[in-house]
Formats: sequence, C-alpha cells, structure tokens
Amino acid sequence: MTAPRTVTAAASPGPGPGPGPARRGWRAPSVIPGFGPTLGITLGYLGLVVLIPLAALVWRSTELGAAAFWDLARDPRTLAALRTSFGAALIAAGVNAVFGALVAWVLVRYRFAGRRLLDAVVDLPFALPTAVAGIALAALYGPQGWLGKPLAALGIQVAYAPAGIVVALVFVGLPFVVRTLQPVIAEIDREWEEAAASLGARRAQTVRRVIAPSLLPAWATGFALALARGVGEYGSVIFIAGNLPHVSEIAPLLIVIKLEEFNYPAATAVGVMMLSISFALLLVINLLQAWNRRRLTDAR
Amino acid sequence: MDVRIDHVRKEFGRFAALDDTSLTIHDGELVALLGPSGSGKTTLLRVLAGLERPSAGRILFGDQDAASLSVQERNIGFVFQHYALFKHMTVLDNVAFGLSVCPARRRPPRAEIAARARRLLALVQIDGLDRRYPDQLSGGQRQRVALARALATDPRVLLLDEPFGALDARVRKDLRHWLRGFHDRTGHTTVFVTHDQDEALELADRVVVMNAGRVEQVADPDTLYDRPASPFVFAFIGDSSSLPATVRAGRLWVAGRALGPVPAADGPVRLFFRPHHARLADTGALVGRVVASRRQGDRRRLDVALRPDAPSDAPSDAPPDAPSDAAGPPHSADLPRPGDAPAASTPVEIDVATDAAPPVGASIRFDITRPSLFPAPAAPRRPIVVAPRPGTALAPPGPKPDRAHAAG
Repeated sequence: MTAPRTVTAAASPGPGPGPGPARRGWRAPSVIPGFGPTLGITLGYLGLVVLIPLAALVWRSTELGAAAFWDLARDPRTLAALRTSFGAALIAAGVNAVFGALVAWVLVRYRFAGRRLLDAVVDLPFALPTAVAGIALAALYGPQGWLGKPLAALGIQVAYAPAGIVVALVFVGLPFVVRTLQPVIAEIDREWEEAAASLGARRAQTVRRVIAPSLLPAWATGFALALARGVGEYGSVIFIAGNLPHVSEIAPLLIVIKLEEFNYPAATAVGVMMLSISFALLLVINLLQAWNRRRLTDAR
Repeated sequence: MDVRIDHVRKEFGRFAALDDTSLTIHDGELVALLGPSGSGKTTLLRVLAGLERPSAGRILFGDQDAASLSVQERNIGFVFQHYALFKHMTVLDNVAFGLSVCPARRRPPRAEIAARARRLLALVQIDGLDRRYPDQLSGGQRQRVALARALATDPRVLLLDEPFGALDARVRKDLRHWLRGFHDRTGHTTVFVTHDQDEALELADRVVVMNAGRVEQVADPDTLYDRPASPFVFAFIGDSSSLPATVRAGRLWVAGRALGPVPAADGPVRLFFRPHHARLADTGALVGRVVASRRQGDRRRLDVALRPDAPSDAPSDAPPDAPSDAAGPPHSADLPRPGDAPAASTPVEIDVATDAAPPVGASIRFDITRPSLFPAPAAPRRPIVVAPRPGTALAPPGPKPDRAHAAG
C-alpha cells in the first residue's frame, strides 16, 4: 500500500521489470476494487433509510420550541414512561444475557433429541407478530391465566404491572442473545478447556477465566441488541402492561397517545428523547467493547 | 517416576483406537510415539493425560493407579498440536495460568507467580514478549509459550501432541534441536507424538511405532532402523522394497533366481530390502529393467522392474497352505502395505552411484546385500483362487518360516 509513492529517483525510467511504478494521477489498482461505488451506495442507502428519517424527527420536534420541549422532558408522566421503558428493557436484556447464554450453550454443546426443534423455537419471538405475543402473554399471566392465577395466589401480579413489561421484553429479546452467542460458542476451541483442565483448573475456573472472557464481545452485542429491541418494543407490551400512566406506561405508548391527540411536535420530542438515551446507551456499550478489544490486541 | 501403560484399550463406538497397548516409559526418558494417522498415537497420549478414559487396562504413574486421578490431579503438562493458547490472555498470563488456578492454600503469592512465569519464559528463550497476546506471536514462539505454560505446574510427565506439526520446515528443524537440548538440560519425562519418522529417530531416546491401535515395536532409533521387528515397521521407517520370495533347501529364491543361503525354514517368505542395500553387479542374481531414474541426494534412485526368466521356479503369491490368521492389522491406505503381493510389474527401488547409473530402459543385474525376511503375508480372508499358469508349479508346502535376517 505504501510502495508506489517512492518511485521518483531510484527507479529506472521506462518500463522496468517487477511491480511497475504507479503513474502519477492513477491509483494503483486495488486487490479489492469497487470501493468508490460501494461506499457511495452505502452512504446513499443509509441516508435514505436511517439518517433522513431521524433528521426529520429531530427537525419536527424543534417546532415545539425549547421551553415547551424542556417542560415536556420534565413532565413526571414523560419521565415515568422513559424510566419504565429503559428500566424494563435493561432488566429484560440482563435476564436474556444470562438465560440466553445458557440456551445458546446447551444448543451448541449438547446433542439431544429435539435439539433442532428447540433451536427453531428460539426464533419464534422473531417470527411472531408482536401483538400476538402480547395477547398470548396477557392471557397466560392474566388474573385467570394458567400462570397468572397461581402467581396471584402468591400475591405476585405480573400482567397489568411493570413486571408484565419485563416478561414481554424478555420474550422478544431472547433470540438476539442466543443467535449472537451461538456461533461464538461453536468457535470455542475444546482444546482451551482441555488445556485449562490439564493445568489444574477446575470446571468453574475454566468457565470464569477462559470461556466467559472469550464470549464477552458477542455477549455485549447480544445484550445491546436485546436492549435496543426492548426499548422500542410496543406491540407485545401494551397488551400486558396495563398502561397505567406513571406506573406501567411505556414511552412508545406515550408517543402514540400524543399522536392520537395530533400533537406531532410533542410525539416527536419524546421520540428524540428516546433516541438520545438509546444512542448514549449503545455508545457506552460500544466504547466498552472497543476498550476490551484494545485491551486484548494492543502490543505492550 | 516410571509411567506404565498396562493392556490399555480404548474404543470410540465400535472402533478400537487402542487395542491392548502396553508400554513402560522410564523416568527422564524422551519417547516418541510414531505411526501413521489413525494408528492411535494421539489417543494414547490423551489417555495418558486423562483427557480420555481407557475402556480397559490400567495406567500407572509410579505405583499410583491413574484411574483414581482426574485430569486436574494428574499433574501432567500437555502441549496441544495447535497450542490452545488462551488468546484473551497475555503470554505471561498464559504461562501463569496453571499456578493461578491452584487451590488457595497452595497458590504462591501473585508476585511469585509472575516471577516464576518470567523465569519459564526465559527458560524457553522468549523473554521480553510477556505482554504480547498469542495472536501477535510467530508459530515457533507460540510453541514455546505452550511449552512454558505446560511446565509451569512442574508436571511429572510432559506430553506433546505433534509438537512441530504446525510449523514450517526451517523452524521445525531448529525447534527439534532446541527441544532435545532442552530435555537434556531439564530432564522431564517426555512423550511426544509424531508422524514424522525423521523427527522421531532424531529426537527420541526410544521410539514406539504404532499401527492400527497396537504397538509394533519399541526400540532405540538404531535398532528400529537396522532391525525392524515387523514388515510394517520395515515399510514405515525409511525407504524399502519388498518382494515375494521362497526359501527352498536353505536358499532364498526370488523371481526364479537363487539369491543365496538363508537360515530359514522352507516356504514362502516376504523379502524386504532398503534401496542402498542393492549393488549393481554383472554377475548379480537379479535381473531387471530400469523403468525410472531420479536424483536423490548424492545417489540416483532407480525403479527396477524385475524380469523373472525362469517361470517354473516362480513362487506362488498365495500358497494354498498359507497361515490362516487372516485378520492381520488393517493398514492405512496411504502407506505401502507390506502384506500385499506386488503386481508382477511393481518395481523395486535401488540406489546407485550417480556416475554409474544406467539409463532408463537398460537391463541390469544386481544383488541384494542385506535382505530381511518376514513370514509371507497371510492369505486374503476370502481366498482368491489363483489358477496356476501353464507350466507353473506351486511352491512346495512348508511350515510358516521364522523371521530371519540373511547373513549378507
């Protein structure tokens, strides 16, 4: 990549053998051509699909004016909705990180009857319309449901309470963690485990010191994906959440309510708040990952 | 402390990877397990390490039965073929791993662990790289890190699986010499697996030749090369050719010609010889035609198709009274099968001086200066009926001949 610059004096003029000096004004032909067009298409596509809509969102929310925006941001109902959304999404992503990793481990590491079926089941939350999932969960955890009734007897209310939101988000977020971790677990070298054992490490030490660290980047990605999905989830949550303002009302629902009142600026303003928080969270996760990668690959 | 492998058997499903293997490894010895792929050498190493459980038989570390010991408790150092270094750990952390997972009461303090790991890295001569990650090392360096890591817990036995398999030829050679010197300095009882006979012969005190899950021969390199105990070993170690032959009245007959007196009982035998144990001579007993000639080192190697010119004396390839223990060990497909009778056209290899090399197509006569005889191979399981050619007499029935080395 660096060679063609140093042509000037030393190289014999005229066509010489070996790698021909690049002519001025021409880039040396690349081994992987097509950088220009592909980057252009990528930028155009991302702009069209992601950046322009987001810019429109931000632009629309400015109609509200700074003062009104600030008032909305400090409105207890807005704050409660944002807290519910992000809190539930964080808890659900955490639950999925633990149990999704377990599911992925079992699916990759063991061979048993019905493994492929179970593997397909993991994708159901992807495939199911979220409203269907919400209705099913609401029926299951409702006061008369199979699970809701015994839980109610124990004094635990899941449906129509914040706990219900977490349940719904665990449901929709599970495939993200499982599918992200599966290929990475499959990549784990069995010999690492054997090497650790031959060096005297007990199983728990091997898992903690050898396996978990090698899964960490994928784990963080799966967590971030599940979190992002949870924050934006609407369909499955509203059926089970009860949607009580200040208690179990999620931010996307607040946006819908504002829209139904034809208060577009307020709706977009809540959207911008969600966007900022999500962006900040993903940024933190990515920074952590980058730090971890650097820690692993830096010489000295 | 000696390691004894006592009638060990290991099956994977219905496949016996190890079939009644016994072996004693002496204290401080450097032993090579040599064999073609699938011969069970890696399985034996893994059984020693406790990574596989034998289906039958015992492994003894000194007087202690290893069956009662888990992998963790065996205190062996295992170096994997692809090193299996923990790639999220620095070189230093890799080497320190074995010490840092010790039970708390036996674990040395942190500073001492680091100091010991550094000493080991110095011992394997890669100090100064302790903050690197495995991905940033060359193959040879990784190999040494793996060795240092395995040595950290002061293992009773060091086991190396194809230690040089993943390295390029140059590094391989250097590291081979280095490992020999390292073993002489540190004196660890060491067992390594290889499919490279040069590596085994050059490096090991004793070589264990394995084939189809069994030990064919255990010997020092000289004995192994000069006095192979079985046709398999003869064919596997070094270059060789083999011919069907017959002993009749104390003389060896090959392709219808008498070679000389041999101390063996009458009957069909298999003759093995090395290319450099053939000598061109105008009065040579064997007649053949040169079908190919190629340079090898300071000699030329000829492929010679033998020409039997007295068909009435030609011994049969499948005598009717052939020993019936037909279930001989199966041979790996990529090796010469010493048991096979060559087709009539299978040439033998002989070495000649470059200035005396006859051209391709020439008829030559030569003697075999040092033939080795083995019992003729068992008959195929489903006997193939060989119709005698007109005028061909079957070899006279005789007892299964003993293995013998002809005097010269």
